[in-house]
Amino acid sequence: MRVHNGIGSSRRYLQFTESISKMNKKRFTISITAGIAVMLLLIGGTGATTILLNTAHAQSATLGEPIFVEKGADTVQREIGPNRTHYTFTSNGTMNGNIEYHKTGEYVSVSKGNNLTFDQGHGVITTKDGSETANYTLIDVFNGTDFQGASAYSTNSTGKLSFLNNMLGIYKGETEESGNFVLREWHWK
Amino acid sequence: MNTKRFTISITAGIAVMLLLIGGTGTNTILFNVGYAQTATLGEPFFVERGKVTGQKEIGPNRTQFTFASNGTMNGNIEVTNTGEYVSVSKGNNLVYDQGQGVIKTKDGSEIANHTFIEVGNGTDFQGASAFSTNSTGKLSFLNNILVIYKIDGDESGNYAGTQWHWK
Repeated sequence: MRVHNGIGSSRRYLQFTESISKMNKKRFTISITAGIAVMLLLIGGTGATTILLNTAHAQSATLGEPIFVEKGADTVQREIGPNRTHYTFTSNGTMNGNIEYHKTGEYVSVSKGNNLTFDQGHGVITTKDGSETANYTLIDVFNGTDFQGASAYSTNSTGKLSFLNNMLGIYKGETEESGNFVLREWHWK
Repeated sequence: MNTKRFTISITAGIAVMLLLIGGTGTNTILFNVGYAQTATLGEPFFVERGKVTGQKEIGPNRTQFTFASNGTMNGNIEVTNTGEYVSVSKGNNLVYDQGQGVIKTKDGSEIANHTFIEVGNGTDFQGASAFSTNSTGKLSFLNNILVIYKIDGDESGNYAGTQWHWK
């Protein structure tokens, strides 16, 4: 009886350990699945992912999505001195993906030779309905096709453009043979 | 057997993910390729420490400042950066600054000029400089490039700046 009971106990013990082992496997699988899900969320998530992943790089900087995407053209140009040309420009674009705007402005371009220029100027950005404006000054460099620049904004707006007050935007763009340009601009924080 | 294979696959998958997340700076590029319009700057090419050396009121809400700093470019080129700017107060501690400066190698043999604009809130600044140089040496890479920077300052006029090439 004792022996029989002993075998019975051993079986029960084996069944018990098997059941614990199954439970642990299940838990392990669930933990792994949860871990993978979190990692996939981090990797495949929204733009905020970029920030999360970059926190380990103390000095790396990431800009995220551009705030301005626009197309425009220089409208008038006039020589004003040796290697100095005055331009006016106009452009239309979309801000933060849904606010339409118009920009106008002027700049002086200083030729450095080899198609390189340094440009300095100012402009006005106006919402499509004309209700809000912001002023800005700009500097940029140009190599004949591509340009990189920065704009410092100022506005009294309390509406859609209010975020532009004392903001620095950095942009890059390219010109087409027709003289038209396309430009994207990011908030430099 | 299947459980073993599954465990090995999972382990390999996790290892790859951890390598991607915890690896080097190149991760930034890897993770950003999916965002067609996202821009990444990478590592800064210039770090500096300096001080505002002088200031003078030149009109209503307008002050002229001079500055001087020492820094390192591309990890091993020691330079000085001196210049001046006009700061326009916008109220609420906000300022807009416009100025110019000269970068000089420590041995004085090469220089580059720069024009800059920046905005700030009294201690933190964000700006951009357009560089120009005739150098054919260490500083030649600065010719007609735009750099963007951040500056952390204190109330005594000391500051630390970090600059990135905006391509």
